[in-house]
Amino acid sequence: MIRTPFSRRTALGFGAATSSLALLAACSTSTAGGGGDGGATGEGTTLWYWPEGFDDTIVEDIRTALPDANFEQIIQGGDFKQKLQTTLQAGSGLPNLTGIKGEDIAHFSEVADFFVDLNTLGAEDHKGDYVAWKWEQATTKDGRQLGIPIDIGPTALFYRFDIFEQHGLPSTPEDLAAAIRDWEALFELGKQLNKADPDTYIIRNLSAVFDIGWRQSGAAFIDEDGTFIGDDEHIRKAWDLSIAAQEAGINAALESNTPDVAAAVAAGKLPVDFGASWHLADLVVDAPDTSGKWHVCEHPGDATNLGGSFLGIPSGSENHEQSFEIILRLLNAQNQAIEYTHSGNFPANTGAFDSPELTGEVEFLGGQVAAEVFARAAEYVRPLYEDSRDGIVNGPYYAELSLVEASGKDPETAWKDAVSEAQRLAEQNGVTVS
Amino acid sequence: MSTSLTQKLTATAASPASAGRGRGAGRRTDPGTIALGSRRARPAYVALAPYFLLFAIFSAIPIGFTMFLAFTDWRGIGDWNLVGLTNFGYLLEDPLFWKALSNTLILWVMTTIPCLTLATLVALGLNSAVRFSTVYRVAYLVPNITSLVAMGILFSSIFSSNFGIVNALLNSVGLESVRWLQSEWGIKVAISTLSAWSFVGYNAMIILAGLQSVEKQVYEAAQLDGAGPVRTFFSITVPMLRPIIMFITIMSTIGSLQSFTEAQVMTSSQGGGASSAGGVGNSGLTLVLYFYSVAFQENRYGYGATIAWGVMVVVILFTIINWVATRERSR
Repeated sequence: MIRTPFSRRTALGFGAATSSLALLAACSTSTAGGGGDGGATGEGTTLWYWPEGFDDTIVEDIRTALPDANFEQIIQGGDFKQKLQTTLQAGSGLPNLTGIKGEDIAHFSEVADFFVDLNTLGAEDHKGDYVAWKWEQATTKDGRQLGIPIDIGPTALFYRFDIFEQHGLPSTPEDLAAAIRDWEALFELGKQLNKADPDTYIIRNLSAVFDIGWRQSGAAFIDEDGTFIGDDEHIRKAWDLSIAAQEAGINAALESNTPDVAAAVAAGKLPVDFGASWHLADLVVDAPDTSGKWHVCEHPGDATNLGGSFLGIPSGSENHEQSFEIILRLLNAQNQAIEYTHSGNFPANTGAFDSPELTGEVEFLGGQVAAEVFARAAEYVRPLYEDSRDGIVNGPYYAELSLVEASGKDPETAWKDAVSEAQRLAEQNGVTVS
Repeated sequence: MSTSLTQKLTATAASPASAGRGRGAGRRTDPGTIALGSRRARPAYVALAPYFLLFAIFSAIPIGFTMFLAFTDWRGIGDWNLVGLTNFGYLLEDPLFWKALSNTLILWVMTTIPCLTLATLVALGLNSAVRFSTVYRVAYLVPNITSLVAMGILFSSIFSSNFGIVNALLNSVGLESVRWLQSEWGIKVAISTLSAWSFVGYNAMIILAGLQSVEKQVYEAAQLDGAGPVRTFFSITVPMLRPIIMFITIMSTIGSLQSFTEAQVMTSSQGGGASSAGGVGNSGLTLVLYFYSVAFQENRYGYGATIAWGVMVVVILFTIINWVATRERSR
């Protein structure tokens, strides 16, 4: 209850009002300065990156090579895309350079004006140094270059060679790769393993097969003219492949990124897993005790790409030339080779492929030179047109596949439901549905 | 006590003639109110200002912007087009919206009923003045102040199919394992267990406060009349606690309609988009999780804002129902 007179309360009120204003002001300055550290508006050159970060030695290399730039890496936790997007829209507090994740590049391509067209800074001259299909992923339809690729995610097959050996199956990477050139052969191996040990499966879940299946076709769900192609033959083939895995009884039906998957991997009940080179880090975390018992080889069909990011320059920032110089140095062959040992991210810079870092043996993979497999896989990845709305439209296929494996939904009904839901979403989002 | 301080202030400020006389004039119209002169009221407004400033910046303006966004096709960055009522048309025909609504209501029932029942039992236990009652009170409240995200991760381990504790317990008594997080009802049981668990202690504290405010004499009178403990509970305790129970019900209704974290942490969406959010068959897709996925994962901020409108309409509907119910009771 307020009583009069209340001079003390008035004073308190004013105090509170002032301090809350100060608080708000503090909020705004800290974002503008990119963490109160000089930031974009000040003297330093800032890079926004997600928590993985570039290795300290690389950051140090930039600082020594370009002392005037006063380079600084700022780690942005949480939802990186959201933070970048909000800052771009606000137009202030921008970093000089920023990471752009592979899954967001199609989205940002739609608003290419927010980024510097790197071709205006001479990016074209460096195109040959990087994997071509990855470079093109950051090229807009009208030929602007939004970013320079950091890493690529060519997919391969990780497997427990000791378990394969134990059951008399091909266990060296060369033998296994030769034995499983098509999916049927791999599924057949899976059946043999499952017969030998009924708790052993070779497929994590149907989504994992579908993921690789549709990417192998070289086309996604929306074509370059903005037409829905999710009911075409190439998607249907990927779908049928997933269903075949289900019917072969080799599907563990475990949800990705759950304790269940980790436990199954650690227990050797999932002795096969698809993934890009960065997936090795997941295996190391999930099953540290199985170190030295894994190998990696080509999976059936052509390799596909999962993940891989870019570095770009927001157009609202200052001193674009210097930022571009830093990008090229961050992503040169030597630094990318260091980055491979730091994070397991496979370099997009082809010059790094022959470096001692990449040709080194990987202890977790039983001393195998894993980079050989990924470098070879990178040659087979087909360029894929990605529409920013692909992620919306392909959702129903994954949702229906999980119904097939979890509750035994009839695959044919599931396909029809997936297509009709995808078409509804496509129409809603301005995709032409024929 | 029902009218807020601001209402009182504006009401008195509107009639400066009577208010100018000071307290006495104000008291005549409403004994609960202390009238302030318009000049004298100014400091009060200043004292209130920080709240309204923060409210405007972090609530009112975003709410207004959300209302505007619902009429656009904004993708989170760049320009937007006004699309009129198109998004609202989509919403009415959107099977996922209705699925999310029914999930939210089912989860509300599955959470609130066990939660309130348990909370009442816990409160009765605490009220019977055992030793170390403070220790117990703290212990029961701990789940409520623990990070929901951390608890979500822990609960998804507890409910995991092959290696979880729940299945281990089921197996030890000879029952089959259940794939909790990969079946429609399993997901709901897991989510509601987590929400109920984290709110039992909080609700128990409120009920306990209610129990302790019931006069001892009432119980003594009941005892003299020969009422047993069960009779006393249903004829004395429950009616006396009615306002408290209504309060808790309203709070849990609002909380449940906004439930997000539990479902977001415990279910993973495999395709990345909203279609596969909330686990198998979207069984754990709540309204707020749905609009989060649409806006923040699919970059459909316009449509996401429309779903948020839908959530608001539902919350308002329930608030009205609650309000009517409370009014009926208090008469």
